Amino acid sequence: MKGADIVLGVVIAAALLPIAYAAVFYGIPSHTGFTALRPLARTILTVMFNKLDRLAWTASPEGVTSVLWDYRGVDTLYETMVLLTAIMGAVAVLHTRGVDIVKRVSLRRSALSAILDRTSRVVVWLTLIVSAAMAVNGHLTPGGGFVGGSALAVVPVLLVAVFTALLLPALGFRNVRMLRVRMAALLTLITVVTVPLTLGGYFFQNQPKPTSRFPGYPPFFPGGVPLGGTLILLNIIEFVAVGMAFSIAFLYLTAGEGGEGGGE
Amino acid sequence: MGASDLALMLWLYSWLVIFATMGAALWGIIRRPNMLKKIICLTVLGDTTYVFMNMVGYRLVYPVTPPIIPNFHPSPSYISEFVRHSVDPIPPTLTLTGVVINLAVTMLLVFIAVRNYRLYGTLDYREISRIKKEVGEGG
Amino acid sequence: MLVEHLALMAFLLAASFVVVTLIVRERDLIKAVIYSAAQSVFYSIVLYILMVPDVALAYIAVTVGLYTALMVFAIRRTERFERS
Repeated sequence: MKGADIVLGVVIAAALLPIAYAAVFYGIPSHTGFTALRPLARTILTVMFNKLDRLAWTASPEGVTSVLWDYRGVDTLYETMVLLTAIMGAVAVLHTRGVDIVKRVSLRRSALSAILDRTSRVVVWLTLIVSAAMAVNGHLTPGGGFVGGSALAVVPVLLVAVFTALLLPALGFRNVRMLRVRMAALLTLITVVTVPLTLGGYFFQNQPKPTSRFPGYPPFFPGGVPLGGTLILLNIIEFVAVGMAFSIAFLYLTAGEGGEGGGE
Repeated sequence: MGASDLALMLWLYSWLVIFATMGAALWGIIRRPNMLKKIICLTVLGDTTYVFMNMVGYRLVYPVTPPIIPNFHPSPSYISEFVRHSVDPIPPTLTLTGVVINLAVTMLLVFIAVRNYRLYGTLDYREISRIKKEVGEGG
Repeated sequence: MLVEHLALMAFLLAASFVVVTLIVRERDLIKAVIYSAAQSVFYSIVLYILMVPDVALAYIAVTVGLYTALMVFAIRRTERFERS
């Protein structure tokens, strides 16, 4: 009964308004008026792009990316491992031994209307370019590896919906190859992160620190644009890893085991 | 009531509505029998938690800016002016990884639910417990 | 200007509370997934008002794009209507 449900929701939402009014009018004190910044956030924002005192700087003017990949970098490494484990578990649950049928149908044309066909080609190219741009510019503007990877994972979903689930394996995107690309990306991540350790620095080190012999990753482009040291490399690696992970899971959901026809 | 009192009242109302939404999503998880409906309400609960976490990091000042320095060569006075108007950068960091990893874990849950449907023929948890009890007594 | 932003945020949160009530009480699972996508759009506008554009970008791509597609595929392979 949809009308009754909407009325129920509106009544409960409206009943909370006098409570808020009474809380302010009868003077329940709010501690600081919600206008102060926490000391930790103040320290991070003051120090992260300070060119004069480079003790703890990250060579990136963006707060979120510098906390994600520099100040709390090992946490993000663990999160990437959780993503890997969840996708492996999901693929293992849905793994079946079915008969693989590859039909010789015309895959270059969609079975739906021609408008959908042409529009989805344009949208796929646009999404690829925009997601790569968001990932590479993660240390200067809002975005980064996770945002770009999620936007990249929309592309196989669209291709499976408009064309059938047989197009992507026919174009060369089999599950095994995507798995290999993702494993290569994760190995590159471990390499980028462990190189300072072998050269006399710290694990996950980005910029030069006074007690390490590693000179640090390059912080600027030759023109003066900030490069972020490891931040741009880690963003690109995470973009590839997240995009490939979600594409593998969606191809398993729609097409079955090898990405070759069948399914249900 | 002055303007800042009205702002504080709207802010407290937003907190109350967030808690009510969490309560509604919890009610949906507990009382609805279908597994996919439970998973949908679980993601609603997670999304409400993300919004609440970013509300904790917000400041009621004006003008308020995101935690990004829009200048490649900032002087120290520019940085202190920026800190006076900026939002906390730590809650969006926790939320960003949380959103993506939560999707992967939800995918695992959905695949397990689809597998359950293939095994038992139903997604209703009461029917599944009844079938398990019968098979347990028979075998 | 602060009061206008907060009023818009309070209205959007109240609207998403109404949509969550609809999600819980709806029997047809496809409609529940569409309501969940509408609630995600409201939440992404709220996340922009809270001045965290990183989260708003990732949130739209994940919940409106990937999550809705995932649930529609899953519902197509199982049953569509909830009993009782």
